[in-house]
Amino acid sequence: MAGTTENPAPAIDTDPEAKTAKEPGYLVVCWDDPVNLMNYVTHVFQKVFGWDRAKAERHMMEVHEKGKSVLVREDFERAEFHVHALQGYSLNATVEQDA
Amino acid sequence: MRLLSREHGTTVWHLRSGQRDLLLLLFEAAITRPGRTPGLSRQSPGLDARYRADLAERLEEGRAGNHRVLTGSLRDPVLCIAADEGHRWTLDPDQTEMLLQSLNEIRIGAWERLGCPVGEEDRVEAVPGTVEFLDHWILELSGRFLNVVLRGLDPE
Repeated sequence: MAGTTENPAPAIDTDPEAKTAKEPGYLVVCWDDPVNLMNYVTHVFQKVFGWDRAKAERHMMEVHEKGKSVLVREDFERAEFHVHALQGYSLNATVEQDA
Repeated sequence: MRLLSREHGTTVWHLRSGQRDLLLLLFEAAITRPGRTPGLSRQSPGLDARYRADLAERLEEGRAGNHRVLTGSLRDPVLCIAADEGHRWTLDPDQTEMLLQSLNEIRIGAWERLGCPVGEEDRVEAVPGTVEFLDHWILELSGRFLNVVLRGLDPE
């Protein structure tokens, strides 16, 4: 499954921008889009993060009403893994560095 | 299409006569869709530039792999057995998620080709026999299958 592919760790050692890549300073953000169904997004959040339905629905509604939701804050490798999983489901998700 | 059983994540679906062929048609339509290249980050251009190509490549591999597995499964007489005036299709947990991913991908592909219509004002009456008509058909059909699978997996 695209969403569960094991990814090699990114080459972060020599990357100045990613010096803190092992620290949980990266946000996985899901952005609103006009096409994905609400029940689909809820299902994906449950599947990718193992959340219960109520939590998944809360984040889905936040995406829908506020335009985006910060789903998790974690190290770069995990964040990239989760974004890959979410994009495998065609959700509009990105990694952002926490300010 | 309806869910017959779900045990330890393995799902068994009944496909009415013709629905197996419709699903195969949809998966074949999806393969002709050029892959999108989503970015990794909106607000960190450095991250995006570094990882965009790699991410896009892995997503494309995933999509192609999903379609290959699903079409193979639909054509497998053991996994997709002729039964009850249709077929009984068995999917393991990963394959069930692949089905959701693929149906949604196909749906979004048709929606994008139609110009990303959002409201009624964006809707265009498609003329039968045109590519737009085919994309309307793909959008509608993949959406229906997607909803059936979602309702089966996550009943209200």
